[in-house]
Amino acid sequence: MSLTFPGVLAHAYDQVCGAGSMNEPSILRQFLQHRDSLLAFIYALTRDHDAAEEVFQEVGLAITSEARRSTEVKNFPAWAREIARRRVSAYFRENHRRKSMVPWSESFADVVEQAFSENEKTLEHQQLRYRFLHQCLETLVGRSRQVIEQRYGEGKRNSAIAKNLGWKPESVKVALSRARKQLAKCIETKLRAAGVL
Amino acid sequence: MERLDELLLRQADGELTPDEANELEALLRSSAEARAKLVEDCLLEVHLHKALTQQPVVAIPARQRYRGVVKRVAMVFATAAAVMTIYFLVNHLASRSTAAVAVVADVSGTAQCVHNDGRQTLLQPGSPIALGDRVVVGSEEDDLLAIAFPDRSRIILSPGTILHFRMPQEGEGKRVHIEQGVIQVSATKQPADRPMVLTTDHARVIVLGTRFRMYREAEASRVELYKGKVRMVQEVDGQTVEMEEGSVAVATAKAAPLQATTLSVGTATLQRTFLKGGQYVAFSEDGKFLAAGRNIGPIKIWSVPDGEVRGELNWRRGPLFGLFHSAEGRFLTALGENGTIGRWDLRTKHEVIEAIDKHHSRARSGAMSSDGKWLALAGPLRNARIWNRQNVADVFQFHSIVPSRGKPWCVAFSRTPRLFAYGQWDGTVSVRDMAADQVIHEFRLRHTPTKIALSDNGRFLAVFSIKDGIHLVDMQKGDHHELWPAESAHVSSLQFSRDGRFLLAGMNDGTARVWSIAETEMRLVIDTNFRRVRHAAFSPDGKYIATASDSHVKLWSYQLP
Repeated sequence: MSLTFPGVLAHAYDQVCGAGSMNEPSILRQFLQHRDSLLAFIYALTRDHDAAEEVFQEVGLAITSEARRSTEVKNFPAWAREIARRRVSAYFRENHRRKSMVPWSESFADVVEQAFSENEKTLEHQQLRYRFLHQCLETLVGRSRQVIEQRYGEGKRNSAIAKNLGWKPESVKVALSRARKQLAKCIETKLRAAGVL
Repeated sequence: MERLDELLLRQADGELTPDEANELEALLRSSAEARAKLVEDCLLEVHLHKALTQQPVVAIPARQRYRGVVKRVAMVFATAAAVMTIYFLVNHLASRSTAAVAVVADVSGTAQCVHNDGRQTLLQPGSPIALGDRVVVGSEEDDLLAIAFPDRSRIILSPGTILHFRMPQEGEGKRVHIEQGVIQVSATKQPADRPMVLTTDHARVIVLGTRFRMYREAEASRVELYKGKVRMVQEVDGQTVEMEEGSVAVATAKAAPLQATTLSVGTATLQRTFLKGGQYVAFSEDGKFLAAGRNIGPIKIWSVPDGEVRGELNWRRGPLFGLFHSAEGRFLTALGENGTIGRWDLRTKHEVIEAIDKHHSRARSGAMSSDGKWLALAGPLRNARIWNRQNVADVFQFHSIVPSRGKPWCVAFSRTPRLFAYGQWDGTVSVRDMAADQVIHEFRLRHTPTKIALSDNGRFLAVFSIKDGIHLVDMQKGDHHELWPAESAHVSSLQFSRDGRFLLAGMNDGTARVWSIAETEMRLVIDTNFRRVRHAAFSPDGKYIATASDSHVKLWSYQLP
């Protein structure tokens, strides 16, 4: 599931603020701008797409609630990550018995926060990265394509992919790793060509 | 960095041991490069997940379909919850007080809300739906509506569907009455003491947290359950059935026995997804290539065995309604709604014919015989035009049939003998022997047929209309069978398998279905995860089925008993 729905968000944003309003809450604007990097941060803490999306909604509610109060935020990414971190922590508390999740670790969350704050430049141009990813996916063929589709399109684990394709789990791991590297390289090439790297 | 990759993958699979978790943390703490890699990795993960689970929707009103560029918006399943977030925000900020029970997550085409006080409003993403509201979806092919509830349950309404949001009764969390049409439901786990209840005149379905489709047909109500459990109650006599995953049950007004049976005895396995493929698909005669095209953009050709793109052909002539490979595999023909026809030599990618009929301003249906020699277009004029091609460039108009019962609406050819079938506006279906130039079979449906197919040997004919469902006709014996009921999910394509044993239908409820001709029974239901299937095709070798949505194409291998 994807929670980033630019059209709908933009529509709601217009309803809230009025299209082209001079009083646009900057928090909402920034939320739209940073949604993918925020989701990536939550994913880094949960390593589970469903959980990340569930937490992302909670964070979205909290942020929109702050927007209603016209809260002033100086560093939106850091502020939003702090909200996200608390929500992830709460999510872990509520779900660790129900789901097979690794226990919540404050020290691990610290290092993830450090990683994201150090690499904010990487998180810029996220929409461009997403557009280039689509183009790069079209160039992916053969085994790489199969494993990427099953892993992300169908949400299968490596063991399930291996079973489905009649491969060894090790082969799936290698193919997946190669495919991801190929995609990352392709995106980077396109970003360089576009002059943003 | 290899080790980092491995640890992150193991963590995502839930296989990380405590020691490995410590190792991962230490690795990240000690290396800036590892931290940078983590950030890139997570962004790529999120983008990949989003890109490969996305199901775009044509988001322009149906009346504008033919005018210009088709815009795409993102999928509904994925976004319903986000829309709820936005809706709450809108609600709070606007300080509005409303008894909203759900919100519109996405609209394609036209959908209206008829409020309790008689007001009518056009629905758009974010529109609230209150108790007492009636939601009406237009009946054009492109009309579709997605509704999200606060608990993240979702309902997708097919064209022509009317839902009434009623006051829940005691012990019910929400109550939705289906007055007509088809819905796809994806319900989150419901509170045991306040479940969602869906009703029709024939049935009541108590939802416990599940994914299913519900069809309010003329004479019955049908539930197809894909995941979880539901309890179905037949209203007329109170019979109850507990439905399990992969089952189907039909409640009627005649107190017939209510039982759950197996939905699909055949199986289908997804082999590949071709992103941004197209709305129409065609296999080459040897089954090795698959072509797909859509209203705008290139027609793509993939190699079926390895999924690689083998060519792109330029198509800029507006909406398509057919793609056809020639028997020897050398040519690909595209039929356009505006009466133009593109034909490419696949060896040179050179387009050899651009247009053969400029009289049609907008055709309704087109067909090409499987040997590639005959073409037909049914247009807005009163006639159906048929062309014959003796060689690559020699195309001449062979016939112009003027049906006696109104404009032609859909057309099809058989292979041997050469038969031409067409459905007319008043519901008449005619089959003409082209050698003898005479009508050999004719019957009338209640409503205008919109899809038609002939088996290669010319014995069987399948035809669909909204008020008649799918009719199978054995022209040798004169038998008629109803394969799919009237006033249920609409059919977007019909095709017989090459051996004539099976009929495949692409449906606008997101499924593709296969019927056995001999037993006249449904044997396979493919839940494609598309919101609607635009076109579905058998491969000539009988190994695969391709399904096309508004954009993506999926390739399935299948087994039929």
